[in-house]
This record gives sequence, structure tokens and C-alpha cells, in this order.
Amino acid sequence: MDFAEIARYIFIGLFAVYTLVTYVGSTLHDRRALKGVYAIQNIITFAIHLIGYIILYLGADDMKYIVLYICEFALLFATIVVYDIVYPKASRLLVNNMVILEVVGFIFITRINYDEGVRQLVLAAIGTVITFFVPAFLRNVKQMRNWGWAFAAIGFIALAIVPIFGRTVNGADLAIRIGDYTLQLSEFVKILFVLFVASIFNRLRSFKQILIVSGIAFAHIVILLVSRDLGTALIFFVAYVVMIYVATHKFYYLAAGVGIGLLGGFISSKVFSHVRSRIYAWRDPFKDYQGSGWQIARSLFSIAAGGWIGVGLGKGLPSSIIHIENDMMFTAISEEMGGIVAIAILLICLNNLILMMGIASRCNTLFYRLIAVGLGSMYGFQVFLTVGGAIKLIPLTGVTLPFVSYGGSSLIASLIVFALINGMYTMREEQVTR
Amino acid sequence: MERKDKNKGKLDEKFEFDWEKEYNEVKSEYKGVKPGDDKELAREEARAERERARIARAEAKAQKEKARAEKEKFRSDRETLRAERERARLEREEAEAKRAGSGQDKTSGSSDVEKRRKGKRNIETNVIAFIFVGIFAVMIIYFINFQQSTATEMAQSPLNPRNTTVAPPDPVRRGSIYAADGSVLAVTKLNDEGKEYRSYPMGALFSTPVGMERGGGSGIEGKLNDELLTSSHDTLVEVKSSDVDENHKEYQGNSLYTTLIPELQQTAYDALGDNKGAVLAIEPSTGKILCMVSKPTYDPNKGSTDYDEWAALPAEDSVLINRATQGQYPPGSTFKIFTAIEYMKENPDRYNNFRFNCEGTTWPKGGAKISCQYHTAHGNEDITKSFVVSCNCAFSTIGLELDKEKYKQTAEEFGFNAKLPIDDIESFESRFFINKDSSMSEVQETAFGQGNTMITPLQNLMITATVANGGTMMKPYLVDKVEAADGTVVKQKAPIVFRSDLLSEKESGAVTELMHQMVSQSLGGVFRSAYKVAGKTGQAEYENDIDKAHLWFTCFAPYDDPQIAVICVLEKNEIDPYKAPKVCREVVYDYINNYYW
Repeated sequence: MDFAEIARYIFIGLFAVYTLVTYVGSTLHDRRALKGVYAIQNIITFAIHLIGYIILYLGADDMKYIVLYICEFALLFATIVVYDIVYPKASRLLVNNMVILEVVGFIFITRINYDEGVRQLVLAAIGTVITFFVPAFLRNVKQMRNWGWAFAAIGFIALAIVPIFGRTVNGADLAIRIGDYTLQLSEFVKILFVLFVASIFNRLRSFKQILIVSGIAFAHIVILLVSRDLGTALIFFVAYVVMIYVATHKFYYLAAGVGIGLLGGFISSKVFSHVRSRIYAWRDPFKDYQGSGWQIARSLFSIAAGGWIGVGLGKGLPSSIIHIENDMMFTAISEEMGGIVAIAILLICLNNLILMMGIASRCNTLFYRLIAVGLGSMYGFQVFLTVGGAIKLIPLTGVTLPFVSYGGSSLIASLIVFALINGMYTMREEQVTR
Repeated sequence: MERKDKNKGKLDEKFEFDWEKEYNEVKSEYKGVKPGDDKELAREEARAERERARIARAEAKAQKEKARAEKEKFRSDRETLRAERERARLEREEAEAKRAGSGQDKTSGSSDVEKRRKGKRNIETNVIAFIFVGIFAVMIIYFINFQQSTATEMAQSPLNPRNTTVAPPDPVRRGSIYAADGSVLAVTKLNDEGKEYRSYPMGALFSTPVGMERGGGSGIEGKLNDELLTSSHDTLVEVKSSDVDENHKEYQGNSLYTTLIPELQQTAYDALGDNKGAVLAIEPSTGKILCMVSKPTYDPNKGSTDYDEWAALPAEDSVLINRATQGQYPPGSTFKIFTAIEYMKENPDRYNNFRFNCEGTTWPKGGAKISCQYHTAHGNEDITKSFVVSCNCAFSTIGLELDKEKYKQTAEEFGFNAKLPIDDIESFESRFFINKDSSMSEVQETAFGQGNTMITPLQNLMITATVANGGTMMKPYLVDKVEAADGTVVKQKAPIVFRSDLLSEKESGAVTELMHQMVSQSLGGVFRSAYKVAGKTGQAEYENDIDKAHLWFTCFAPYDDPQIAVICVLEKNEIDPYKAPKVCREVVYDYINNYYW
């Protein structure tokens, strides 16, 4: 048994303890006890990071892995320290969860492709620097709640640009190119969309207003469907339904939303062939194994190969799945670290969602509550789409696992989302202390 | 409260500034007046006018500013009010909840600060959080269930790259296809420029079973594409291609060994001549396909240039249809084998007592008028004579005695109305239409081989082979070995029983005897008795062409120790009962001479 195989058990133990501590931490209110929780979380996170990179270094026997490790460590350490200094009132649980997910992403992306690992680090650094300004921005710019229509206009134009000028990525018109980088605008439009809806519903919630906003939301979704970005369309829809429900306190909006969602899914499966083919591939991936079912079938093979304890970091076959570092990180984790770690990561994502909803519920202005609820449900639903797709619970939609998947747009947008929520948490905490 | 104060402060600042400005302006105005200077005075006055306008504008601006500030204040007031209302509502809810519960929630009442810190949970966000907890729970349960139940199956799936492929991202060079004797039927070679191409050394001779890569793949090339592109041993092949880099690796794909015998294939190919149709031979005891010819055919080496032309041909002239497995024809009199089988199964004790007086035509009440060929009156017949002379009148009468449901059931047991159990090549279904609602005339016609029945040569031969194999139907196959590049056998196919006990020993013996009598009495001039051939001819009418028919012959030999079953169909030929048997004869003789004696 070599180190990678022994390390499987260490990883399982570390992730299990981390998850347990995180959930215990979510129920604690005592500051000193919480400090202990944070310390345990950070120690475990950096232990996982270190062990992961030791395995990668031993496997490749190349110094460049050590260099990358040190840079990543510096960034993650800085994230925690700067958050602690600049925003002492930020939700440390959320920050720590974010950091451990980034660590998992760094390890697996570098394991799959070193150059992509370097790029991911650079983009993470850019995103992290941006995020340090987000809570400050939020605190100082209170007028933001009146900019609803501006958000809608910018977001809508950004979405509409893509099918016109964009280039096709994996059969979906998702991105536009700027120099060497491709920008997936829909990742950022998600945030603008939530800000827009929150801003409008903050002031007006008449039935007429709801109809107008629904029309605009519908237009967003149709553009995404036409761009073949099915997953993001669904995410917009879910976030919108949740936000109406929270804004109006009326449960029947939620029920109607689910109904319309099912109906819309049915109709779009009739209208769009790319939707239909995904449903066929989901129902029986082995029927068209060489074609549409290929990715799902390969994902199931990988997850099955991993079993509960995994085959060991660096010992799986992630290269058997195209775009695994974008769409199927859950599969890669399942294969090499095993099902227990995969479930632990799911639970960490769920913990993020619960923390976000907790923050939302404690926001004392509707505007901030709607933002937190909208961004939170987007986050939760995105995790559901990518993981559910990889395990064949639902059709595959090709969205990223936030913080873990490779891709700068997704990573930076996720960092901004967490920063916004932390910003709102910070403001609330400050009000309470005052 | 603090926000309102701040706003007020801002406003005051603004007003102060404006007053000061005005004061300065007035001062400058006073200073600038110089009496006597008219021009100057006029200019001064104009300037003063402008100044006044500016002051008026500034005042208006200040007014607007004030209004906006008031609006802002109103809004913030409203917000505070709303927040308060919200808080009140939450408190009410909480109180209600407390009333509903046992009131054990002590911490919430302990201190005001503590209460505010904990905050009051909003119902809606709680609902959303619970929904997501539910969704994640479903996901985790599904995942656990997958790992516990389906994971093993997935891990063992032959499609799983972990079980077969050494290095999936590296390309695999398509494996070769061989005949039973090791002759190469298909191989991938490199041309002068180092580019790969597929070569078929036997050309058109093996195009029917082997197929070609072109056009999505046909024959074995199409159906077993995955197998050929799988490398079960990491044997690297030399890559000469100029446009690949040095790190490019290519693995040799697995090879397929078929059951096809080149000499027999050649014999069948020649015997079929220029006729449209098919010849197919099977080893009855195993299901091995020994030769398979369909004409017209094509030279797969010319696929890259001529494919479009082939694809454009109408169906009846198509070279791309494998008539042996995909051609659907009326069975004609060969179907009397099946009708006889059904009659024996339904009347195990009295089929030998069957008597019929053939007058050349028969027209039972409520049925159709059935004629024998050339309206020949066969006279008094038992079952054997009816079969030997291929009496349509007798068999249509037998048909009327059959239980329609059982007739259909037996047909489906023999493979009708479903895809045949062959994995190595594309095949079409054969259709049997009789059911409990079928009309009398349809049953009559079906029983002697016309009606709506459509049969492929493969299905027809499988019936014959089942008779030859004592009632056990074997699964037909073309590929019996998959070998990796290093010679390791990846798969070795053993004969598989498709359906056993379709016929009892007695029944298969009796049908064999009928077929043997048919050959010795009606085709004595075609087959020498030493080969012990048992078979049945057929002339299937199609549309309304009276002079021509699809000519069939299905047979096996030797009848007391069956080694080979052969079928031949000749499309749209002049009626000649000996033509199809003569084609089969070449194949039977060749095989018996070389592999049995």
C-alpha cells in the first residue's frame, strides 16, 4: 500500500471531522467555542491541502507542484487572515467552508492538469482581491436598492450578447472571448439578476409589478435556453420563484412556480432538441453510449470505481471523461477520494446553504434578505444540478460545482456571491452590536 | 435615527454654502458699479441680470434638493416602519409558537441583546432551507443507494473503460477482422503519407458479413465497432503519420476472428452468380455462420469514392442491404416446414392419419379459392405426400385445422415478430400475422407460405437448423473470438442455446423425414443420395407477377448427422424448382467433402 492509498483513510477522517465540526459550529453562539471550531476547521483544511500536494508531488516528482502548493497556501491563508482583519464580523463558517472547497478544487484541478491548476490559482487570487471590496461596497453604497432597472438592463444585454457574438463551448453558446480568456457572462448575470429582482420587489409587490418582473425573468430564461445553457436557465428560474415567495410571503407562488417549472420543462423538451436529447441520455445512458449517453455512463463508471473509500488520489481515470474539471468534479472526487468524502462535500455545500438562509432570515431589510435568499438558492440549486447530473438522479445540465470546478468566471462569481452574503452578514452583526 | 440626522446635516451645509456665495456675489456687484460709463454700466447690468438668474437657479436647486431629502426621509421612515411591522409580526409569530409549544425555549427570553443576536428566523427562509435539506437528502440517499446496489454492475460493465481500455485518451488503431482460417478480411494500414486507411483484401467476396467502416459502419465493422476500437493490451503500434507529434501514442485495437470459411464463401458467391438474392449457411449444432453472401454487392475498398452512389440506389437494387439478414420475403412453400411442425405439435398422435384428396383447387365455404401449382390434381395424399409434392390445397386445409393462437405462439417461439438473437450483424424482424381474429382465407394462404408472412433468409434457415438440431435453436454468430494485440484471448464465444425443446425428438425426426423424402422424391436429379440432403423448395409469389417468383431452397445435410444447414433465395426468377437447390448443392457438397468426409 503506497502513500496515496493510506491517505484515502486520512482524507475520510479529516473530511468527516470537518463536516461534524462545521455542523456543530452552526449551532453554537458562544464566541470562544466558535473560535475553537474555526481553528479546527482551518487546521483540517490545510492538512488536506498539504497531504493532497504531497501525493501529487510524489506522483510526478516535480518541484513545480511544491511551488504551486506554496502559492496556493499563501492565497488561502491570506483569505482567512484578511477576512478576519477587514471583516471581523463576517461569517467565518462560510469563509472556512469556501476555503476548504477551494482546496478540493485546487488539488483535483492540478491533479488533472497542472497548467489549469496554475490558471485556477491566478483567477482565484483576482477573485479574492475583488471580494475584499464587495462588503465595503455594499456597506457604503446604500443606493444600490434603487438601481434595479439598471441591473436588469446590464444583465440582459450581457446575456443577449452571447448568442450573437459568443463562441460555442461544448454545444452551448456560453462564453465570449476576451484575449486568451473566455468570459462566461451568465455566471455574473446571475448576480445582477438577483440584485434586480430584489431591488424591484423591495419597493413594489403588486400583482402587476410581479407580472412585469416575471416577464423580464422569463426573457432571461428564454435567452439562456436558446443559448443551450439549460442549467443556468433552471437556476434563474428557481431563484426567481424562491424570491417571489419570500417577497410576498405567499406560499401559493412557490407552488405555482413548481407547477410552471414542470410545465416549462415539458414544453422546452418538446421545443428544444438539445433538451430532449439530454432527457433521453438521462433515461438510458447506455442506449446511446457512444453519443449523448457517454458522459453520464462514464461518470457512473467512475463513481462505481471509487466505491466508498476511493481508489486514491492520482489513481483514477478522470481523463476518461471530457470536461471533467468543469462539469463533473463530483465524479472525480467520488472516484479518487471515495463516496464518504463525496457525501462530506455535499454536506459542506448544504451547510453553506443553511448558513446563507440563516443570514437571509436575520436581514432586517427586505432588499438584503431577497439578495441572500436569491443567491443562496442559486448556489444550492447549482450544487444539486451538477451532483444530481453526475449521479444520474436528474438529466445532466453541465453546470459547475462552485469553488471546486475549474473555470475563472464560475470561481470569481462564486467568490463575489459569498462576499455579498458576508457583507450583509457583517452589516447585520454591526447593527446588533451597536 | 442617525441616518436622518446625517441627512439634515448635509442639507444645512449646502444652504450655508449657498448663502455665502450669494453674499460674495452681491459684494462684487456693488464694487463693480462705476457711474458715467454707459457701456460699462450696460454690461454691468447684464452681468447683474445673469447673476440674479444664477441665484434664482441656485435657489431652485436648493429647493429641489430639499424636496429630495424629504422624500428620502419619508422613504427611510417608511422602511423603518416596515421593519418594525415585520419585527412585530415576527414577535407575534414567535409568541404564538411559544404558546403552541410548551414554552421551554428559555434562551430566547434570557436577554434582549441575546435575542437580537440570535435574530428571529423568517418563516419563508426556513421553508426554503428545509426544501433544500430535502433535496440534498434525496441526493445523498440516491448516491448511497447507487454505491450499494448498482455500483458493482457498473464496475463490471464491459463498456467501463477500466475493464478494457488501457489508455482511453490515446487513439486506438482499429483492429483486424479474420476468417476462420486466419485469412485477413479487414485490416488498417498506412498509406505512403502515413495516413491510416482500411483495407479489405478479399474485396466484394466478404463485403456482406464484414461490411465496411464507411457510412456509419455496416456488417461486423459497424456492429462491433467498439470491440475493434478497444485495446485490451497496451501494445503500441508504430505511428508514421507526419502530422502527429512525438508524444502521440497509438494502441492496437483488438482483432476479431469470424466463423466464416473463405472457400465456402467463394463457393456460395460463385453459385449465386449474377442473381439477386442471398446464400447463408449455418452449423446447426452451434449456430456458427459458415458463409453469408448477398447480391448485388460492392467492393468495400471503393467505399471512399463510390459510397454516395451506392447509397442513392433504390431499395430493390441496393448493394448496401444484406439480403441474408435484412431481406424480407414471402416464404413460399418453405413455410410448409413450419406449418407441418405446428400441425404435429397440435396433433401429436394423429398427424400421420392426415388424408386429403387434391383436385388441383379447393374452395372451402367461407374461405378463399386455393390452387396448386399449374392446377395439378395430386390425388389422395397423406402428410408426407402433401409435403413432397408441395400441395397448397392440402396445406391450406391443414391450416384451417390449426389453433390460430397456438400457431402464432409457436411462430413467435421460433423467432417471428421480434429481433433475432444475433449480435454481430444487423438483422430485421420476420413478421407472422395470424392471430385469433384472422380471416379464414388469410389462414389458408399463410399455411402454405403466402399470406402476409414476411421472412428473412436467416429466420427461415434458423427454423431448418432447429429441425436439424433436434429441436434446439442455437443463437447464430459470426465472431467467435476477440483477441488482443499480444495474442491474449479477450473473449471466446461458446455456442449459446437460444430456445431449447422447440421440437420433441419425435417431431424433429418426423420433419426431417418429410424434408428428406422431399429431396429424394422431388429433387432426386439434383442431389446425390450419398449426401443425405433433407430440404424444402419454395416459390414465393410477389405482387402480381405470374411468371416469376422468389425461388427458395432450405436444407441440411446429412440428415442423420446434420453438419450444415444452407438456405438460398433467388429474387424474381423464372419459375424453376431446381435452380435454388442447385445453388445450395454447391455449398453443401463443398462443406461435406472438405469438412465431414
